[in-house]
Amino acid sequence: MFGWCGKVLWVHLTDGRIEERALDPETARDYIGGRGLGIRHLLDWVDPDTDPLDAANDLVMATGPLTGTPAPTGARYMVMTKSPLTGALTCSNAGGHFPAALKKAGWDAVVFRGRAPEPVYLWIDGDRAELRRAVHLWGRNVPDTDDALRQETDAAAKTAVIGPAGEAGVRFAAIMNDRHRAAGRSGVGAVMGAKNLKAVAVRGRGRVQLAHAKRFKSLVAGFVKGFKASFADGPVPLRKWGTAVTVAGTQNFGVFPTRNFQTGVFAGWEKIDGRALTEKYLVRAKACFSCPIACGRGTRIPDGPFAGQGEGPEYETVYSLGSDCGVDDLAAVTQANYICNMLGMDTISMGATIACAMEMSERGIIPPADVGLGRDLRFGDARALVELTAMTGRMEGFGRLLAEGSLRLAEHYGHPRYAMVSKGQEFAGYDPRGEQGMGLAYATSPIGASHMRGDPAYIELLGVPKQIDPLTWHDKPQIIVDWQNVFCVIDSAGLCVFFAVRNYVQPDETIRPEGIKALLNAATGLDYSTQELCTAGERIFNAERLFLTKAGFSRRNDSLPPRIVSEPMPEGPARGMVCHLDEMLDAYYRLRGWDADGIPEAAGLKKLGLA
Amino acid sequence: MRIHVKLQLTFEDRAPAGRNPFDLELTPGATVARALEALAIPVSTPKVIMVNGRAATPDRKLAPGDELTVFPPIEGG
Repeated sequence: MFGWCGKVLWVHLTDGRIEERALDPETARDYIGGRGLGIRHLLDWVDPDTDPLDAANDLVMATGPLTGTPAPTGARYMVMTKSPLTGALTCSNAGGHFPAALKKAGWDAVVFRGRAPEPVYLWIDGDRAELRRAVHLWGRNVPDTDDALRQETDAAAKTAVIGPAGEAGVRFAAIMNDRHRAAGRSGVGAVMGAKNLKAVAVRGRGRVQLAHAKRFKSLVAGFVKGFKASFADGPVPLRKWGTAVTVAGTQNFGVFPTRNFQTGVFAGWEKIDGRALTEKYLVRAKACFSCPIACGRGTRIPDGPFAGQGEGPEYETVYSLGSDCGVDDLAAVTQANYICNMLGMDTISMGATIACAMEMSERGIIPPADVGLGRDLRFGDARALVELTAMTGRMEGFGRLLAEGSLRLAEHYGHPRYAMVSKGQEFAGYDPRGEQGMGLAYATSPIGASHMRGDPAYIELLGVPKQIDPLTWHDKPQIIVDWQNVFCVIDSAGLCVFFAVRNYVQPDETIRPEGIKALLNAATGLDYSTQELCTAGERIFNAERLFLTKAGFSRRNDSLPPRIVSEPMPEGPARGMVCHLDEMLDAYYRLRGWDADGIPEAAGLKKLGLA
Repeated sequence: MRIHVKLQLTFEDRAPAGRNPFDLELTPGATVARALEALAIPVSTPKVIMVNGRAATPDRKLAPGDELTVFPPIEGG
């Protein structure tokens, strides 16, 4: 095969067996890779009712046919499993260099089954793979584990590891690769921990074989040239200011979530935005494999109570650990981010859960004694933010409750309405009252609230690839369907959304992944039509819905909290708005070919080869 | 008529030295496109345009006291 390696590594943790299985060419064509291969595996091999932390839940790390190629941003992989945070499936995506190394080692995907009797790690050196004892690594943080693994295996190895949070079962524990990149969402790190799997280290020495290498090279040159030309007049915002530059867009439109989504404008926004980060703490911009953007932030806080060094924060972190907690101290936000990276946790769910705790504390629902800080927990308490983050990652004191995520925390105190979640997963940094399409995207995302499963922020707030009105809702169902399908293609091909939305996707009457089609055909030697590729995206999204349906999910799970659908935004550009979810859902289900309860109809599934 | 202008990020260098946000004098009935021309921002340059907190297009007619915000497209968050 070209583009694909044609091989999947199956690791049976319970008895230590490792086997090589061929990648079925028809499955590869229909499901592309990454996210598509992941859901196909879950449908074929995992009982939808399985407890996410049970040995019977599989964990799949899957690359795409463009991962590890010179395609701009061909750096991504997807982790798929059942989520301990939501009980739904999850697909959590990351870049860096680990995914490309996995591909260069000759593997399209690694499937982990069962549970190891004691802590282990997987060492992949090209064709060879072995499980090694990791008892000595258990309890160690992410950078220490990365150092130890490269010492024990190969100095040039790339790693994906869990920290103490994943070992202890924090429900939003991340899998950290290349120390600072995170497959962050939905607790994939806790699934790894439950399997007694501490890490994967990989050395890739080969090259991804391309069917039409010359054509591929010329396409790559064209995309890079087009990218450079579009920024001929000035800097690339993401490289110069990082993703936290997005604060400008969300604050302008009044959707920058503040104090647990009590409002959408944050007075201290300029203290925590991308410009502030660049001016105060940026050491250098960092790029993932084959990326011309370099949005990663190598940062250092030179002094003060939050001094430290590491990477981040990204936009989502600036929202979750910043405005959502009412904290405008960028050093504290950055230090809390470092702690999340060290201990292996999702910054979004961490910050949003602390924000939920802050609101319930201010309302007198959580007694100060429960929190144990020796003072009232209130919005804006930078020191509490950092302390609670560390307590969560180590499962200490009140951190044990925070480690359950905001919905379980709020339910514990009898007030689930204060959890800003969909399907039990915390919102990303966009208030759906001022961004209607995002409300529909959160509610219908298969993994619970996520901005990365068909992100309408690009088109509603950020002008990519064009600009539409974020406050209208009748026009959004079709847009969300189109973007969700295209994101399935991006996520399955192994590409980064940040480059893809502007350079690989044409936004004409329908949203078309023309650039991805050209690259995929040159890489694999297949002849995807645009329609076939869009259908593959639709197939993947419906396959995910099918899995959810089998697990008992339906319309009642496609929901948003009461605050978002019935409490008008109190101030700012979106003042007076609520999210019109129900109206959008009816139209959305019709467009999807699902019934009024959100269950896919048999005819549609059959057409997609899913029934 | 006078409008208020806020230029952000890559457009900041089009603002008068040391002033941003700032006021801009336009003939009555002028559109966003006319304001952009006065600011030497080509209509073809990709950008997000807002008037009074709502997304707007270049053909939008401006009224006295309107607040015009311009910032570049952003690919990630």
